[in-house]
Amino acid sequence: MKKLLIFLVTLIFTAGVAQAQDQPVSLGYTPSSYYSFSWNTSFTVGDFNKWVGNGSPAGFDFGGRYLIRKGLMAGFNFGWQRISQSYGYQTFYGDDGAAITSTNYRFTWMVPFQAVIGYQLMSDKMISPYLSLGIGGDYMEHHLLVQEYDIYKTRWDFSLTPELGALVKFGSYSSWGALVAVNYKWTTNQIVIANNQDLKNISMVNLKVGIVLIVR
Amino acid sequence: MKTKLLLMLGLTGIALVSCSKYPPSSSRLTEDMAIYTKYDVTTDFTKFKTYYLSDSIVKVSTKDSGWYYNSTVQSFTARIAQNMNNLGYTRSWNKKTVDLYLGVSYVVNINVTTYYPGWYWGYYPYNYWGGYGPYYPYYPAYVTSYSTGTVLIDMMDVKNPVGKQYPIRWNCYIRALLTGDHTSAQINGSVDQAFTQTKGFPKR
Repeated sequence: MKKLLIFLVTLIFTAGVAQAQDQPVSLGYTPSSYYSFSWNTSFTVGDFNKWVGNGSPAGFDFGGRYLIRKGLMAGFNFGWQRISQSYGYQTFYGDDGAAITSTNYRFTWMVPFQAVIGYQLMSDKMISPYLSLGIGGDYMEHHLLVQEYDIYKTRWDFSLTPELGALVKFGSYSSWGALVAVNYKWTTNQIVIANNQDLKNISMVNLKVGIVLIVR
Repeated sequence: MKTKLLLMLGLTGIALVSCSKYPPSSSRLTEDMAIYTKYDVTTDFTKFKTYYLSDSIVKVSTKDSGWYYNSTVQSFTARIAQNMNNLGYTRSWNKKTVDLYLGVSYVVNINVTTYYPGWYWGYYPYNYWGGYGPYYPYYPAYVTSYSTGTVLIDMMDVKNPVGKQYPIRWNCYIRALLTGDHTSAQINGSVDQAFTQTKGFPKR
């Protein structure tokens, strides 16, 4: 996981630098805005990892970015993500004398929404790295499926997401491109469901790969 | 440009609609063996001393419901008795003088989709309850589907009938236990677990 992150970060920055050396300064254009549709893979971090240890590729993200001036940009993100895992035999107790021992399945379903500010480096180049910070929230549902029983809690939260990524145009003047990014998402969400578990540090690392529509 | 933007929004919409919140039913593990128990939290289980448990169990089937006995059943009921004895209860063969009556049954090939608590009582042999009817003083553990071989245990308080009914102080469902696929160690372990996870029982 750590190696993958280092590789992606290195790729994002070195690709931008290498491309900048190869291309004439005048080639390309600076977009006025762009819209991305990304496939999102999440890896749970902190207490979230105690709840569901698996990474999950079941997620999408839709974003818009508007370049304001000199690489400064603002925008939005919203999406969908499900993280799940099956567990072996465990015993769960209710407060009414009930107990169940069985295999169980846990998942968290979330709908993130954030406003984004950031800085787009070399925005006129084919490969343009960026740094951004998402500020917003999530609607999350934490489900514990124990056979027929669906025990769940819903919770809204506040979230911060620093992100490092790159916009890669398919051609110097193409209005289509790709987006590769990695981010760390910190939330104020909690998981309080079964056996008095109280998990407060709900955060995750996300890898995003997407297609981008660029507006001149 | 507007067309392309609409295309992006369309892709997003399709993705959102196609991604259901719940996992597929195959991931929900509802066919795995599971042990459910529930007890009447208002009951003091230390006040009971004796219990009755038949060596046979009731087979609940659309074809041939009735008493059932084989070597598996013999070791299964013996394990229940061992757990009851470990809790400090004494087994008695006199139904009329005991404090508790354990009714044990298992389900074979019943094609029912909704199972209300006690639905299977109708399959029990005539006079199984000794002219009395059972009832739950609490909302019991329940399941919405049974696999073949699911075992049901009801612990009736025959010392304190309410009208013409016996309160069921503890009930237990062990899904898919007597399917023939489990070892005797697994069967015994499941019975032990049913008693262990019931916090209201007397300390051993």
